[in-house]
Amino acid sequence: MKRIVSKGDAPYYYLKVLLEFEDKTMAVDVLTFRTVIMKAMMSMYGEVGAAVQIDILKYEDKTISAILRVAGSNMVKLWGALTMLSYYDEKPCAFRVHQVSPFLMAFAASSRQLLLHTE
Amino acid sequence: MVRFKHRYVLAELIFGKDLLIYNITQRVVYAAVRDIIEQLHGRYGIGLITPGLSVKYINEYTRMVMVRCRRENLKLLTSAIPFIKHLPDGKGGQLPCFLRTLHVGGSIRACQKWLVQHNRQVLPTLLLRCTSKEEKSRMRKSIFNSTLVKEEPWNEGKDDT
Repeated sequence: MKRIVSKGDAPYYYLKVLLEFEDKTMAVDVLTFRTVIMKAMMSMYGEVGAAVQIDILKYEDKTISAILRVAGSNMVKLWGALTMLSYYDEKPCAFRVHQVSPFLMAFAASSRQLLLHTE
Repeated sequence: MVRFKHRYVLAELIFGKDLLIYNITQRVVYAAVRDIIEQLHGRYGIGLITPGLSVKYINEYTRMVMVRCRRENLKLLTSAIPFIKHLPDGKGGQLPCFLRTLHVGGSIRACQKWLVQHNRQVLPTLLLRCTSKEEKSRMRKSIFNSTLVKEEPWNEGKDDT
């Protein structure tokens, strides 16, 4: 029997996030979305934090939601920075982190999106 | 015994020309260090470094600065110090400068001992840069004074055999 000890740092972590503005009529394109994330990392972790590699794998214009990918060692930083963002361009906003997983497959079916029919 | 361990970073302020800077105080250097950590590491960096950060010693004539930080944050401080590009002079402008890290010590005394030894080594090179005869004689005198070793008084007839 071989025992494998995991150090905890997966190569990549994936986050399913949604950016919610107080003004519901805001239209945000993918470049602005990336800038918002960058500003969040910059204010929390400075220039060294803003240089962290964060990829937007999928972006949905209508709902302003995206699937982000970040290196495992930087996941906590990104999640913390997204949590602490409250303003972008003087407009109040907030990041809702729906799902975080080291495996992209986990986003295929999430128990949060399950619709339970109680009859 | 639990206590906070610190590291003392000795740095030399290098300006473009040799001026006597009397507007650079401990507060100015502290603000510069804190601003550069905020720029590089954000609010997280400020939160890490502020407890324990202080400017312990500043000498306007030799342009030596000693900054203290907690032992865990030494790398943060030493990696951020080279990014300081200017310091505010008293009249609202910015003086371009560079902080050259000379030595890191575990205590103020250790840093001071190293500083004395470093100054002894630097004096001869300063002698080479002297231009006037009067300056040269003054330099030679201060080198002579700093390298004299105190002689023990010889006690005659102390041990009886």
